[in-house]
Amino acid sequence: MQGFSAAQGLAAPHGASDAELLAALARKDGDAFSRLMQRHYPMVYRVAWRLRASEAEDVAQETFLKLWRDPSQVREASALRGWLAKVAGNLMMDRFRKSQSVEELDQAEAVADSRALADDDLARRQAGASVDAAIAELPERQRLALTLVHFEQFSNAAAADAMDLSVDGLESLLARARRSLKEKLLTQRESLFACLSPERA
Amino acid sequence: MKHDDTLMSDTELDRILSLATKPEIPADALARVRQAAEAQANVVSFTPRAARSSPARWLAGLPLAASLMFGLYLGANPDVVEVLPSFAQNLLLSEEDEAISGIEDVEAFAEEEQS
Repeated sequence: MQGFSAAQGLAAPHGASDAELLAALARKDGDAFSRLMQRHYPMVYRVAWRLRASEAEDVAQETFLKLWRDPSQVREASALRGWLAKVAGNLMMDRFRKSQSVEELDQAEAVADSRALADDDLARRQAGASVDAAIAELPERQRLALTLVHFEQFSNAAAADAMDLSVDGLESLLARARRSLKEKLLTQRESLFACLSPERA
Repeated sequence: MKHDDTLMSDTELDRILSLATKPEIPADALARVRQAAEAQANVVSFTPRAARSSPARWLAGLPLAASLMFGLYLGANPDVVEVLPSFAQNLLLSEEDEAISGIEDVEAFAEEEQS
């Protein structure tokens, strides 16, 4: 192992491609690992967070440790982003299966946190919490599909690959997710749009 | 813009979804992953040696097995000593334990052992 530099002074070139960094990671280059984390950790964390916020950091960490242990699992560098999303999604699904517990929404926490905020921020936070709650009520697979495609801008094909689905299967999940969300959020539409100013209709 | 009260369009849903919370990455999260990776890098993984079963290993065990079987056979059939060569009979008889009775015999035996 070549070790880790301080986070700011990494040895791996700043513009190194994922392929170069993965090649370096295969030699246990800690700097390459840091660079890959800086590039992809936020996406992995957000995907995990959308599935279960309280375990997002654990799952994101576990995902990157899998990459650290055996980077050869990523067959092509261009597939790294999808591979990370797939591993994070699978790890979270495993946790869902094990715990079988009722989804804990961070909605209450978010609302509680927002009490000290100014009115504008408060309204925005509450609107966000309402949308989060509606998303959180979706089945896990629909939520993952929506997160990858809508929030992380995966193409349908890439998201389908990350979820071991056909593109048709993914599109079906997405359609159901969007239909559910429309139903759930319809009654709050006006108040939610009010938070979208100045671009609101 | 006039909304249909019973339906929501895809565009409207996309705009509403933009209100969803964007989670902040916890401070030091990356540093914690790096620490965990470093800790793993310092662990030397134990790989159990693959079991070898070469013919030589089995051959080496044969004399031991034969010796054990012969010992069991002798133990079960004391009369077989008669058919052994005389030097083997003498050897076996000389190693037979002598009955010890009385403290004098014990002292004599102990002295003999020490010498």
